[in-house]
Amino acid sequence: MKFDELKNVWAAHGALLERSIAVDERLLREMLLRKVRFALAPYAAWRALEVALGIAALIVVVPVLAAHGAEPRYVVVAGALAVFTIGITALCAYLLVNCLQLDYSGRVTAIQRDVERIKLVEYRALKWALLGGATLWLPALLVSFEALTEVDALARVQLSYLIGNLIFGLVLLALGQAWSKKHVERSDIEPWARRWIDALSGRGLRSVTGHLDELARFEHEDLPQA
Amino acid sequence: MRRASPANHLAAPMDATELTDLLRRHAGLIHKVAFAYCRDATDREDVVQEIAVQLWRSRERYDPRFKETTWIYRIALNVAISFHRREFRHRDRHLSIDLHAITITAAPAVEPGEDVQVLLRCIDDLSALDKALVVLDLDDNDHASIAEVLGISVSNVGTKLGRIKDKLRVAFEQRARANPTE
Repeated sequence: MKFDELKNVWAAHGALLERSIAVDERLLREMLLRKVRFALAPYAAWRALEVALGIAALIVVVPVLAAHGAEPRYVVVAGALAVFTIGITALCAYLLVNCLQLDYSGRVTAIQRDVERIKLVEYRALKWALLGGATLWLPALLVSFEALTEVDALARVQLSYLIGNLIFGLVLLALGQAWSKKHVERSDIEPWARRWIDALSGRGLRSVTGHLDELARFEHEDLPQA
Repeated sequence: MRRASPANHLAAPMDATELTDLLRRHAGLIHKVAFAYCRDATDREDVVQEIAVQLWRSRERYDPRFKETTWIYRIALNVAISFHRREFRHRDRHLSIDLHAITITAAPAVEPGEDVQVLLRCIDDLSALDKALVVLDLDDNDHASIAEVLGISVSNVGTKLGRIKDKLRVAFEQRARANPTE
């Protein structure tokens, strides 16, 4: 069969669809209003909440760091916490702004690239958040306590305890990564857990970079075949 | 990030009635895109509704100087490709159950003919981007329009299509021979 004949087959299918399609105006309006609100709200709300929490964390961490700027322990621990918080907050702000501005009416290759770049940042943010959460939760707790009570909690904790906590966090992450690689193909996982597993196992990043490569190949000018 | 430029705001954005008219006029196009990317009827319904939502969200950016179909193809293909890339097996369907309002539906009796089913199975084997190229070509768009929708050069469209058409034709004949009752 020639391609033009396939076109005829496709056109006949289209004509059949055209005849059978019904548009219910009332239901369409209801659906549009409901679904637009529904689709946008959770993602944007989570990103906005993350940005707000990041800013709140910085408001807590920076004064403590400034008050103990000459003490190496504070510079290293609270400094790492501040850098981590700035990084994560910036990534969340990037996601918030870009997801709200994504315009699906752009050229397919351009929009698909934008979508994949957003996903890339999302996976990176999640991965860094897991890394930071596992290793910096104790310093975060101590610095928050210090900011609230003005008791220099971070200075009073033994260094060995802080190092032990850091090692524990790294071991926990390594175990989490091994577990996520083992269970990455499981289908009975809730969507939120799926995101964590994909981020930890590296599968999410591989999928995104694979699609970006595919896009680049697609855009590449093919040489006519001999 | 692609954003609407101020120059694109040439007319007042369409209202719900205008969008409904537009959907009525181009419902066949939207359904064909959904058919090309989804085998499952529920997934097709989701894609069609998502396309309607994105058309509604993008209505302020529609530039009437350009063809309506270019705008619709872009949105429909972007939605379908993104949907296609999501992992269906991990989706939480519970949330979307009550959103399955029947808005733009093909009658249940509409089942693709045997030739169309074979063609759709052949299209299934293509990558998401090649599918877009083939759907646009099957819908009789010229190379310049396809290039405009996809964002690649006209010559690239020509060479890619030549290769894909050969592949598709061979696959169609093989499938049709292998399973004549399909």
